[in-house]
Amino acid sequence: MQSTELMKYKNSITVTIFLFLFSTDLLETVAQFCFKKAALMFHSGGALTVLSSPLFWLALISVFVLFCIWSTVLSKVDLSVAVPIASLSYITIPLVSIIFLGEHVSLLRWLGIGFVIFGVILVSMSTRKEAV
Amino acid sequence: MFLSVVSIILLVMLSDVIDAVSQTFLKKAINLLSIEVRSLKTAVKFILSLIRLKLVWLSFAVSIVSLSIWIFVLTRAELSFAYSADSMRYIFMALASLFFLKERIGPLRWIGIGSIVCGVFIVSIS
Repeated sequence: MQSTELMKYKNSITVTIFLFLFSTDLLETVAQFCFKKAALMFHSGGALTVLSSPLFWLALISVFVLFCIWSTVLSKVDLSVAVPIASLSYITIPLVSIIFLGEHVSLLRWLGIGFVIFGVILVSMSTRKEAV
Repeated sequence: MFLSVVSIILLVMLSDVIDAVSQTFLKKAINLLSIEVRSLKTAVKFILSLIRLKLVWLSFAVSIVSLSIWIFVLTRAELSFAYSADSMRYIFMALASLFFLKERIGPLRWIGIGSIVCGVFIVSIS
């Protein structure tokens, strides 16, 4: 019985894994933003300014934490599961702008968001089938 | 200078294929370890063993190549077009998982991946 439980634990998507994947999306945004800002400093002050900037180090730390979380997720689920579910980052930004900024979103965009959510649900369900 | 449509698509495809290779190396390295991450302590142990593997560093190196191509494309192409072409990445990742990692991908997962490709493509162009 313990082995079946372990199997299920290894393959199926849990809420924790979902939250982990969400945090990788967030960290990726932070890292990209900081790297871009730090890269702009290179033009004005050279390499030393970049290395002494806290933004550069924040970016590096984000990338390292990202690697730790992403690797942990990959130790629990298939690559063909983790990668599609990480696509939710494509719709978190539009959804945030809808909910918090009251932005108008076109019908086409809603359709795209729908496709992504539907796909993520199917991929998550496919992990459950495996455990049985 | 803007690139032609064909060269953008080919470069994005190249970047996505290289990224899939990088992720394959990482997953292969992770599969070599048999540490079950259950707590912060096991997580630290897991990461420390992982960064000792050469495959992981190979994965980093390959991913820098992929990222460089992607940044090159972003500076020379329209953003929405580059991102919509990037929806191909899910197909290459699935193919890499299937052929190099021998993961079992059933019809449900294929349909899900296809739906995500369509969705990401639509969100990018809209």
